[in-house]
Amino acid sequence: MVLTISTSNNLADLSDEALMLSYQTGTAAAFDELYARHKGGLYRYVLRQLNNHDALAQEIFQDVWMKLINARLSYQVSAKFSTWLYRIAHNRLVDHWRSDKKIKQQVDYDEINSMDEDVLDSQRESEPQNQFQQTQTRQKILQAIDELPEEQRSAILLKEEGALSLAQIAEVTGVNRETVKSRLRYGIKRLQGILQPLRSVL
Amino acid sequence: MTRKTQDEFEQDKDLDILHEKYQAIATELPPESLDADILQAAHQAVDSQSHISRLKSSRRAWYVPAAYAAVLVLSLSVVLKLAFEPEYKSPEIPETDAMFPHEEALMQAEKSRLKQKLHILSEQKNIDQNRMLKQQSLKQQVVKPASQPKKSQQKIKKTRSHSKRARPDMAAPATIQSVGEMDEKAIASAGIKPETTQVTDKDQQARIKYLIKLYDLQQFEKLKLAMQDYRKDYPIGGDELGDEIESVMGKSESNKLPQVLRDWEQHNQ
Repeated sequence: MVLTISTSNNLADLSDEALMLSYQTGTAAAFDELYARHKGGLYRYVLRQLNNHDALAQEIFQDVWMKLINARLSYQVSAKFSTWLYRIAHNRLVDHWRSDKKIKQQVDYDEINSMDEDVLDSQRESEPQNQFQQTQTRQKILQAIDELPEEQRSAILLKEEGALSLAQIAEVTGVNRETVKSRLRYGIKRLQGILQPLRSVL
Repeated sequence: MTRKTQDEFEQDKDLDILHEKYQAIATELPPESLDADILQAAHQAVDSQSHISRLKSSRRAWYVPAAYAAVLVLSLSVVLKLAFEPEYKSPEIPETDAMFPHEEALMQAEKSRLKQKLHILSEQKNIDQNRMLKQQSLKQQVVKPASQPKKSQQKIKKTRSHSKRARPDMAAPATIQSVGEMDEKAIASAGIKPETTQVTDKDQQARIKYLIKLYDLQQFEKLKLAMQDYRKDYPIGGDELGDEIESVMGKSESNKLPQVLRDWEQHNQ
């Protein structure tokens, strides 16, 4: 038991790359640690890219991890682990969009808004005032992110969920650093409408 | 350093706001069942990997030493075979002349002919020089009758008698008009041919020498061929001229075929 704890503590101290190498050599616990570190960010990245489509997001999320498991033996520490992981995810998403000839769902936000209004009305009655405001803000932000063009959304999500730098985002998406920078700038500009009122809150 | 514009400041601020707000709302996680599935798959992959490696190592337990042993046995057998095998003798290849006797004989004949010609050319030079010396000495003998009157006169008389004997149709000169005329007559009577025919004499002498050499070396086959070739140019019966020259100029300059060769020729005809 003591040994197990100390082992798990050791794993927690290791970097992502070291954990992946450890998993490569057959330490299953190293994968547990890696999964725990990245599952949330990756899941949300996939979920947002698929317009919060849960079932599809889960399927693709699982595919990404399976690809990683199968490719473990060929893994080399040539880049940051998270860059590798998000590149697999990005490529899987691109494949999905290509294979399904995805026509981006034009979400009828008016409908959602009216639906949200109904929900909000019911919530307004049950929740305290502060909590209600938070829920409202969340909905607005997610809606605004959904409305972004694919490239801009991808850049923002990789920054927020993957905590990747401009160079790493460039590597994942296969464009240069300046392009990533401009995509982020345009994305933020589009979000300004939502973010502006929040400034006063901050 | 470039200063940030107002827009850039605002964008940075917006990014900070977005970050803060997004992190506050980003709480979605995959379902626990999905977590379990993925983790199980990861563990199974590791287990199967170790199982495969175990299988590989268990296989290696018997087939690697077996392979080593097989290689050792094979290499030993090869070495032993090489060590105790009798030395290989390649089958004797028949020589070229045995394979193609006719062609070889022709080639030999051609070679000997070429050698003969080369030999003739080299000998020709020496003979020319000797002949010139002889002529000069003969002239001196003719020009200086006072110093040795009896010997020279006897020699000239002898030459004349020889010439008469050899060529009875030729009329002998009544008197010698001058030294030059006498000179020419003496040379003519000595059987020395003019410049154009000298080449033939030299050639004949050289060929005779070659025949003698072949006889001495006992190369009778070649001798036979060379003799036939010789007889084409110098038919039987021309040796009388050689006798005359021998009597005047000495044995070395003779165009006469030696008696031994004549006998051999007669015997081998």
